[in-house]
Amino acid sequence: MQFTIQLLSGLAVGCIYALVAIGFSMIYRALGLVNFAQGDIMMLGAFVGYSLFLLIPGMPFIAVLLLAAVITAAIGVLIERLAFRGAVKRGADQIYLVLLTLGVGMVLSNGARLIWGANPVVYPTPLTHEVYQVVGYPLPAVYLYIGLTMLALLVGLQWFFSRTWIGLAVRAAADDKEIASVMGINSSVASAVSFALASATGALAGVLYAPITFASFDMGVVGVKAFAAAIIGTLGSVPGAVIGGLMIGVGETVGAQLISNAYMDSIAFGIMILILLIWPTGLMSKGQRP
Amino acid sequence: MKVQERVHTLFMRRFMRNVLCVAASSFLGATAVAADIKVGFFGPMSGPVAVYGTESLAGAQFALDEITASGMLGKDRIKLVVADDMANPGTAAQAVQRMIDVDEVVAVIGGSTSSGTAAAVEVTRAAEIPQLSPLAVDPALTKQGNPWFARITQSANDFASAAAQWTLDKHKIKSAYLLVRNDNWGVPLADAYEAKAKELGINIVGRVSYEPTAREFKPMLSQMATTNPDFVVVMGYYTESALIVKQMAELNINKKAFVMTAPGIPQYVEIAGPAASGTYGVLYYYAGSIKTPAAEKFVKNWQAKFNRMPSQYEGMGYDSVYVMAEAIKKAQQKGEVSPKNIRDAIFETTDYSGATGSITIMKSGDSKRPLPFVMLEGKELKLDYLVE
Repeated sequence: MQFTIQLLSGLAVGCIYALVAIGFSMIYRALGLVNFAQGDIMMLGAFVGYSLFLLIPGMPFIAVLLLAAVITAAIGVLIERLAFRGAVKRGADQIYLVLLTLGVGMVLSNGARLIWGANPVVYPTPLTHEVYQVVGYPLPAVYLYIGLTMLALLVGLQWFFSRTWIGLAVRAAADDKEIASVMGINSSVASAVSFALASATGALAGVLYAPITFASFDMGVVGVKAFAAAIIGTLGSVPGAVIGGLMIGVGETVGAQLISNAYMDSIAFGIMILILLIWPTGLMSKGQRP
Repeated sequence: MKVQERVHTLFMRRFMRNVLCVAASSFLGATAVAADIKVGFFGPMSGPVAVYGTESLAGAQFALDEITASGMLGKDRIKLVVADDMANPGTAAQAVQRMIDVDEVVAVIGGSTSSGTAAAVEVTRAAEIPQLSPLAVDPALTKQGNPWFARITQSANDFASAAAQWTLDKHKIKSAYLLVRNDNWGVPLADAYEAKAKELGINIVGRVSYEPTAREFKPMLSQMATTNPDFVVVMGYYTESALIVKQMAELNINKKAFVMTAPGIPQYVEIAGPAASGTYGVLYYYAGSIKTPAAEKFVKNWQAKFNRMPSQYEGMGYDSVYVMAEAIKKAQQKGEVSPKNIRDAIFETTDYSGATGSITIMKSGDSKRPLPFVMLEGKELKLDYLVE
């Protein structure tokens, strides 16, 4: 009984890590860049969702989820345009770009603190405290949304990257910018699309995570574990990010149950180290690229 | 201006003022001139924790009006010099420095957050100006042997050991389980609870610490449930406490939980949701819990003016001004309202019957005072038990 509940909450949190990790992977594939602002973009999405609830009271959760994703995607494109594109065009070194992402993250979290305050905020929706009883198991209602969103997102991304022209173009530009541009693919459009998608998934994570806990300017720290998840599943691989996220989510919950809560974070990173010892480039390094 | 020059000027200014005062009083004999006694008051008046500052100031102002009306200090009046520290240590230190240098306050009341208070203490100690805090609970504040700082509240550690007393006296518990934020806030609190509990014969069936960044407590909670304790004691911030009781409800664990000062914080109730109802906590002060004439008079007068009960911060602000005024009165009797005389008198405060109970300030600067333990019923706080 208890074990099943633990497993479910491990899976739910794992999905949140996975969503943020997908963002890491998408930007890494497109620009070869680790975007350390990803956790803060998730935080931003959570606050955008909160503001939507305040603006339109009684708005359905699913509408807030989608709208927050769209708005945050637009902000993501803006960030790409203002902060990254110029630096990439002028040929800035990788290390500076990574520092740039850290800086963007700080601006976002401090900005959120200015706008929404230092106190945590709670979504004004019954969903925050709703618990279903499913065959005797208490199941927080938001877990259902998390599971469904995850499935829909995976199907959607698969379709986008294999069936749409723009999705294929993004993949082509990621694989080889020069050849792709010869084929008529504009690499800056590809990077804007990647940022938009990464920010949207980040926002999904934020809006889904807020009812489990709360929204606060410092919730971006989740990004560190999500980064570990992305590494486990090989940076750049979307399915890998999902596997990594679930492994860390379930691993730390079950591990903490078996060992101690005091070591929860250590367990998460222990899993990462262990996997990298065996598969130094992550679980999905083979067969990912032709 | 160089520091030495500044000190010299300040010294001369004070010296001249004293000379003038002495000269004046010798000319005028016993009929002293009415003077403004400037006392600083600082705390967060804006920002997310403004409630600590604004409410304690409202209580302070209320006390001040009474003191002025009653003529407690003869012809002299206390004048509050108010500053907003925005709960920022740097701003607090600056504001207090300014009060001392420019406004020439003889004493300072504040602050209302531990971080703001800690920064201000450095300034008042160097300037040798007594500082009396209504709300700061950080145990470290009174551990430096600072003779210029006192508070009318207990340290957080005393809150924790009073909690052990309360769990035994009121709830007759035999066992408790401690969930501890693993940092310099949670660990000393848990140590204080555990030490007192052991002394009282309460069995600590488990103690688990969690990382300050933790948001998932279910593994820890299901472990806890297997030991079946009489009480769950959470020593952490209100955010974690709220998630802990929320997740306890999600796991169907029905245990009495004590979450320190969290029930008095609105965000705690919001985050925990319906699970907050039935949890226990401790407040600085609970209006109506103290049955002395002074306390009942305060509640009656407050209700007459504001048509509601005073909050815990308002009560503390009120008492801080009275303790200060009593000290100033003693200094008057000694012949000079000087920082040193006020300081000595503050530390002599013994069994002062205040609105928030009988206050005794100890040598360390900490206080002895009754503490009300409360329970949340829905969103309402109800008095559970008063630890004398």
